[in-house]
Amino acid sequence: MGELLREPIYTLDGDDFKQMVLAALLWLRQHQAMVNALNVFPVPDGDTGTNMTLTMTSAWDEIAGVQEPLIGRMASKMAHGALMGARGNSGVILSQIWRGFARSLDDQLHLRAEDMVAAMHSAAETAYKGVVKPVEGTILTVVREVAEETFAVAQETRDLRVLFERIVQHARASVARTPTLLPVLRQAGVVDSGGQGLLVILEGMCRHLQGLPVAEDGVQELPFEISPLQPAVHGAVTQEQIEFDSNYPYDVQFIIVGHNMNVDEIRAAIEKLGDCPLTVGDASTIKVHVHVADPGIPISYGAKCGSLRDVVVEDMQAQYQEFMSGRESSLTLMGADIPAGLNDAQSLNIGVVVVAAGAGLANVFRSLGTVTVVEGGQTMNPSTAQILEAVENVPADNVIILPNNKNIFLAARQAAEVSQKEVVVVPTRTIPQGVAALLSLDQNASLEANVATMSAVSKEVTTGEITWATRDVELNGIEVREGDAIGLLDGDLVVDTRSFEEAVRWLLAEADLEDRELVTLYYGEGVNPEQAQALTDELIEAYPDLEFEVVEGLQPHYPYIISIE
Amino acid sequence: MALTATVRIATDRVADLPETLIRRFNIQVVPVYVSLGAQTRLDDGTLDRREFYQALRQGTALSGTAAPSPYEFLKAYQQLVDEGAEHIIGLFTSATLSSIHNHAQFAAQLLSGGRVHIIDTEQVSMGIGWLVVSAAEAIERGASLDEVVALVSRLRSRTQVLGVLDSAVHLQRSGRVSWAVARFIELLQIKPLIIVEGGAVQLLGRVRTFHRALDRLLEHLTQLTPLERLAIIHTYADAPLIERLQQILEPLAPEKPIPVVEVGPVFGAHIGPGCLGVAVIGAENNRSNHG
Repeated sequence: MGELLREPIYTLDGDDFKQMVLAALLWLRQHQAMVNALNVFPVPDGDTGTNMTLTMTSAWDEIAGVQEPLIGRMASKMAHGALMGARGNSGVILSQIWRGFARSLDDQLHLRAEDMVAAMHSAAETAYKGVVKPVEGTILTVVREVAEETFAVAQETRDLRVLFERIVQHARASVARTPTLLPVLRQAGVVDSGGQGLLVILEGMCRHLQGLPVAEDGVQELPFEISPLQPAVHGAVTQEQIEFDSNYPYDVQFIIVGHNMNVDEIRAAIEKLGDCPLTVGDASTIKVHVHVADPGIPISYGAKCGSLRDVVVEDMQAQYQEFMSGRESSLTLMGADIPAGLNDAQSLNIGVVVVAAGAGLANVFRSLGTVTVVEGGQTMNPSTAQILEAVENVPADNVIILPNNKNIFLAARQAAEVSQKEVVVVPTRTIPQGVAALLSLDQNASLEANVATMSAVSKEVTTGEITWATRDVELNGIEVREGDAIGLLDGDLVVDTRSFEEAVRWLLAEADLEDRELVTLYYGEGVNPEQAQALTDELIEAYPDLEFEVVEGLQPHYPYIISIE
Repeated sequence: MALTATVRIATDRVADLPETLIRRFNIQVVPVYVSLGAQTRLDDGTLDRREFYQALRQGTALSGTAAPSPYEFLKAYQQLVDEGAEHIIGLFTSATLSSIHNHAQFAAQLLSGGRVHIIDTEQVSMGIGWLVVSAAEAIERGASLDEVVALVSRLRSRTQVLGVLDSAVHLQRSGRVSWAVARFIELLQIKPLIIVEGGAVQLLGRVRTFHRALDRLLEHLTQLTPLERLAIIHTYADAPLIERLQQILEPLAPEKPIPVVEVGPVFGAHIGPGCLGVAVIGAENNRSNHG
């Protein structure tokens, strides 16, 4: 045995590809933290490594139990899994790469070198098309250069192992060049994280062809455990529970049919019983969903309010495992069992899906009207499937998505594209922009008119964000040390200081307050409400011409989000 | 003095007609009761509005309003008859929003000779006021009773009162407007933009700042141009804000300067202090669907 004696590989079939996907996923897991660390901005932002790993996990889950000799069909299943689990911009672009790759292979049995040329070309093309404004020096550049190299190498050899070795080498060089193409990378002294993630994936596949280990212990067998690095993901209102809280292992759902029921009262009672409560409906039909330790409690409470229908109790431990083995069924928990009458009663001209992290912010959005909140935001970007599920469950044929974070734009657009409904993404970048947009919603106006108004009003709000630096960097002439409190004004770093409250003061001093009337402070998780109030009182004194309000946001990572309007 | 006119107009204090116009057209204005705290008094236009809104703002006293008795209306009609009126056109607060209209109607039946012709204005404040002014001008021009009645019926479909409320609290408390009562608890400061049209108070939109509200008002009014009538109405809103609204509406104004009218305590009690808006009669064949 030995390198010199190895047999050339001229074709790959469905099963080979399946093993390569697994190898890619395992190798990516090994490097997830490293990819995460390649963060341009020193803020706890959508973690590329995590997002790409989750996307690949979803791709793998789709094919894990599949026996499929045709590589074309295997690839297309895998691409579907990637699409449904795509998270963050990098994950969505990755899913596009696989979509283009699979589309080129169609129903083919084998992949040969020339097929690889066509597939990579299609992958790159689809990836570029998926982005509104493609930026060079990112994963896009890497996939394009890989496609070009595939073409060049295929002129010299038909051995797929050699081909992979060469394109991995080329991908590495391409990633290394990203800072020369993208000034922001150069400034931060990092390579592009998405490009790096793609390199790791290709490398994992290549290692499989080379017979090299991809998992830590050198074994690449099932089953694997969920990585502790993966952030919690949960759709508090969308019903779909991917993550479960072991304190509340039972997912209870039922419909109460009665008359003159008080929805608010029942909602308040259900909220006290457990986690992820959702109570919707009208005086005659109410749908209840809650996670509890003892399913008997909400059910007997519901029976007191009216007669129960469609009682479903699910063991979330089992659901969780099912999700990890990639069944789509868990995504349609809610849609299927809402009775038509309830849907009608709640029917809207335009439905709205908003993405927000933190129970307080979710409540703020819900207080503004009938909206579906998908839990997520910085560092825990919801997947295309989560957004899609929310879109599908909104009782409206026209849906507007407010992502409230630029890392969620692509997943939101994917969901919009996949949905059968008329769906438009209004690209709100921050929570204050999302609030402004939602407030302007007019159910009597057309979808187009609403989108135009929402886009316009969201730009009228100034957003301040206070967080901590995740590493040392110099940006905008400001020297930042890891752990410092930093303030971003409409996405630009303007303040670096010791305390979050100090950062708020400085940020307001930096902001243009001409013609502004109202400042809202949404305080985050871990911030003492009294401290937030004291800060607000102090600001009221300092800015007598402005109105201030302080609101519990409970968002993670951002002690303060500030809306100036 | 236009006492020679044989068609006279009666309205109520909710119309918010400025004294100059009341005198100019010799309008009969029926007072309305206002209660503030323990006191109940008839608002005949002399109630100190600043003091009233101050009390409302501080929440020191709950306020309420009450329609005058049919007897007050009968008295008012009788006075017009005594002054020589052959016909009386009654333009009162929207029948859907107040019992004033009912009492006025009842009183009309008590007066012999079928002289009182009541048209539901479907309006409040200067929305009523502009219909009164339009009718009075038509009478001055020599229009017949039927012509005046037809004119008012036409104009009222183009009449709107629009405004931004400083908060939804007073509207909720007043209990008159179902959508306001049904609102969720609001976690953020929201200013409702309301429209009174066809006897209904509806939510036109929600904003967080007066700046945005004024932009929305301008947007809305632009769809109604050319405007036939325009007045700015307010419940002691901040002076710079009123000036700003005057400035941005100047290009749309049919008369300059745009009249600025304080909303009286009756409608004011329902919308609260610090509100700012307009009363407008829009262009013909340009009926807004406020969409």
